[in-house]
Amino acid sequence: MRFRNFFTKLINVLLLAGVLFYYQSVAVQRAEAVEANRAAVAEAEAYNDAIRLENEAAERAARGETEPEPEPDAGLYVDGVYEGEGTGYGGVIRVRVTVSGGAVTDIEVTEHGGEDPAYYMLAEAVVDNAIAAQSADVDGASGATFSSAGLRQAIAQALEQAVR
Amino acid sequence: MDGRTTEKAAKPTLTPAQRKKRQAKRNAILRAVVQTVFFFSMPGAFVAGFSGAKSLARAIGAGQPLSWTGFTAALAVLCVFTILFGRFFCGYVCAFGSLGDLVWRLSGLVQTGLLRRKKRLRLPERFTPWGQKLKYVVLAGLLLLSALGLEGRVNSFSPWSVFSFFMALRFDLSGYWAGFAVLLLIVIGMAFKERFFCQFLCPMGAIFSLLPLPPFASLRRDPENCIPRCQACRMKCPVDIKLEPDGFRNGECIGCERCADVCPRSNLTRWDRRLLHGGAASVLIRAGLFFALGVWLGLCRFL
Repeated sequence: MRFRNFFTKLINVLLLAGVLFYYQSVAVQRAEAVEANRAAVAEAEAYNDAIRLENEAAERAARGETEPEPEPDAGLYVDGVYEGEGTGYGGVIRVRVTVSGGAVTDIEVTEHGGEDPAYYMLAEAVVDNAIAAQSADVDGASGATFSSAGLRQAIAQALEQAVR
Repeated sequence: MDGRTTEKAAKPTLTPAQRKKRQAKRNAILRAVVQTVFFFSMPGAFVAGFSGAKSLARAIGAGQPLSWTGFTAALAVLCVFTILFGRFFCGYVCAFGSLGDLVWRLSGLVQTGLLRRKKRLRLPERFTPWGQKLKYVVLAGLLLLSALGLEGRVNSFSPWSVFSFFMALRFDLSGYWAGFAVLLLIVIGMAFKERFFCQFLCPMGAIFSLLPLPPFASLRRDPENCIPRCQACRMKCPVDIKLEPDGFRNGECIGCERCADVCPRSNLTRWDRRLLHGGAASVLIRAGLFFALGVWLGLCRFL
């Protein structure tokens, strides 16, 4: 048959695409189930905490004690805006970290000109991870080792100045 | 191409053979120019595409959903482009391929010029079909490492990291000496076999040669119209294939189109080459299209 080679490869590629498509649908369902489970657990824990606090308050009231002064929330960091820099793939990466209420609320990358755009886009996940973890000690993006290492270095340098 | 032009300046009209030779020379220069532009503007294109394949393998290994990133986009664009236009990317765009062509050319000049050898040393052709299977092993191995999450352990061996350092003018190789050694071995290989890396080791090349090349995308040869026992196209071919209407090894074709330029009967053609009377315009159109796609993917260093 003419173009036998083409059709063989075409069928292989279509099979592979089918397998990937099936995998994706299963994996997405699984990820959603895990997320739903996590949300349910968190809700239950929050409910338990609320009940525990209520019970403690009731006990104190029964013993005639007053409400304890809530401890001032110290937080990890001193409020302010801090800058840091690190070395990425092709040059300096600068960040501006905003700390308010003792917590990192915003990280702005002010300079990343030396990074290849495709790699930098991948490394940007480090910023969100660092805000979530309140630390520069987060996983880098695999595939964009240097850009993410530079970002972490820059965030770490900024946070060093902010540590209480 | 070579200095032995037989053109006579006094003759106002050229014979068809001379015209053909002139066109081949022009196409060779055009190819060198296109390769140089892409070498400096998008040296990371092939690594970005393969990073896409690795990220898919990594996600599957970890049981996570596949995600659409700049790298998977690069992989998809490279594959679709290759299905539509053949391996134009390999022949004209990829920085590693261009490096291979440069090293091969320099090695030839050194051997025949400086060392005064009559014939340059080269890997005998009988090794080619075996060597070309090797890249599938490389592809499978690297994808497996990614799927198992062990990729980080072999990072320091990566010749592409070292190559990308050099392209970014970073010469601090601490921690990457193993990768530098691998890169050096590859460059030595490139000196004794044209497109050594592309046909024997490139994992992206393995992916490309497994893609279905539709009949309209690849150059095809009509054996019935050939001059009996003519080997011109095969002698020019960097990956040692002789194109057939539907040859099994045609997937190895890197789309350099030198066979089409050298064929005395213009017997290797494709619809666009026929339409545009020889490759130059179609090369420029495809190069422009890929450049636009590369800029859109964020692969260009300057835009």
